[in-house]
Amino acid sequence: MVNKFNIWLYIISTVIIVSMIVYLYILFTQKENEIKQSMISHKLKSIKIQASKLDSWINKTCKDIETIHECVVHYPDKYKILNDLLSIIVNQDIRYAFLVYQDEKQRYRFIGDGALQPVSVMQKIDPDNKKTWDEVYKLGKNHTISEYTKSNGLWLTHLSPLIKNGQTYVMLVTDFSISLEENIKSTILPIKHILLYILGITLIIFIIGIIQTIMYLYARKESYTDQLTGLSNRNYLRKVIERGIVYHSYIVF
Amino acid sequence: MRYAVILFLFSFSLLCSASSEKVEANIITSMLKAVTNRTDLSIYTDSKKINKILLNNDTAFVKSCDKADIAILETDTSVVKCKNRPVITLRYNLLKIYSNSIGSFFWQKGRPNIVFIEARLRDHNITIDSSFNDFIEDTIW
Repeated sequence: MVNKFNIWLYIISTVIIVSMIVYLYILFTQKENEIKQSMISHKLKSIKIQASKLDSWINKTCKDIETIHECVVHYPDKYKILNDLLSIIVNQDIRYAFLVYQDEKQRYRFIGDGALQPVSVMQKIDPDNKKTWDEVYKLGKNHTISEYTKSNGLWLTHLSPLIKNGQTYVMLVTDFSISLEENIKSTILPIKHILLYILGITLIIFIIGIIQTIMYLYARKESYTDQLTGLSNRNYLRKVIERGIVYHSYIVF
Repeated sequence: MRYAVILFLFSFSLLCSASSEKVEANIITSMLKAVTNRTDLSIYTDSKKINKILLNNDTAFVKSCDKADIAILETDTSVVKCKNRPVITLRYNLLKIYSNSIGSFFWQKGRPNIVFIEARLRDHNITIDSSFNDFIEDTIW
């Protein structure tokens, strides 16, 4: 038999279950972001170490040459070593690592490239976000660009300017592949899917319960009503008798 | 300078909303307009991709390089055959090798890049729109 207490118990327990699932879903989304941040910071630390190594190598190797681009243009062997050093940074998660310098026309040119088939030295590269590149190059402060879509396969770009005498003389650019983000997502996604399935099942059960209650109330009303006259029938009378007539409720004085 | 930055920001704002193909189509259309200063162009291309992405831009494609105003090419053999027409290559290496190529559009490190060679533009008597000044190089590296 359905009574008010049972209905409220049913609604409250459903609300609690749904709230718990929503809370867990939000918690996992937050965890996903935390994992992303922690992985990025781990990668950035290793990039910082590599940038410092590159800086000391360039300063040691090109110390007698006026500018870095003269050093790599006139000495192909040095360019090759620089590329080898940059190739250490490149892996499954870091798609590109290259060094650029800004010429007098404010254009960025390759000084080193960690790719398997390196770009020609001094070849121009058009930055995707020139304003930010210019600012980072000018201020000499590390910066991470994240305004990408998946169309170009990049997730993040980290700009690390290398400083000499208080000025940026070359900038290390590292591009993070979207595969890193996708790997993190694919780890968390099954848990999120399970939570969504549980949420879906709970809501279906809730809806079924509501339908069943409505059907029960309708069937009960039908069984207590005489189809011909529309008045309460003997079944209703029996129920009242079974429950017992509370006489004192009819007494006025 | 400002125009070039605006152009690239425009291109990349498109990148945020559209696919790389749309970005390519926009950049190539701008390049063609900057080079020829015309919209009713006859283009010859050996690239199926270019054919596909420029199809909606009211571009007239011709089947022979001799009938074209400009060619957009991605293979060595086509560039060799297309000696008498200004060529925009889709690979930087082709720009390096073949002197009839005036410029190039290519993807480098996941970024769209444009290069025009000053001397070659001069050889073809082409005056490029000033918004593309930042992409003109005097040396091919």
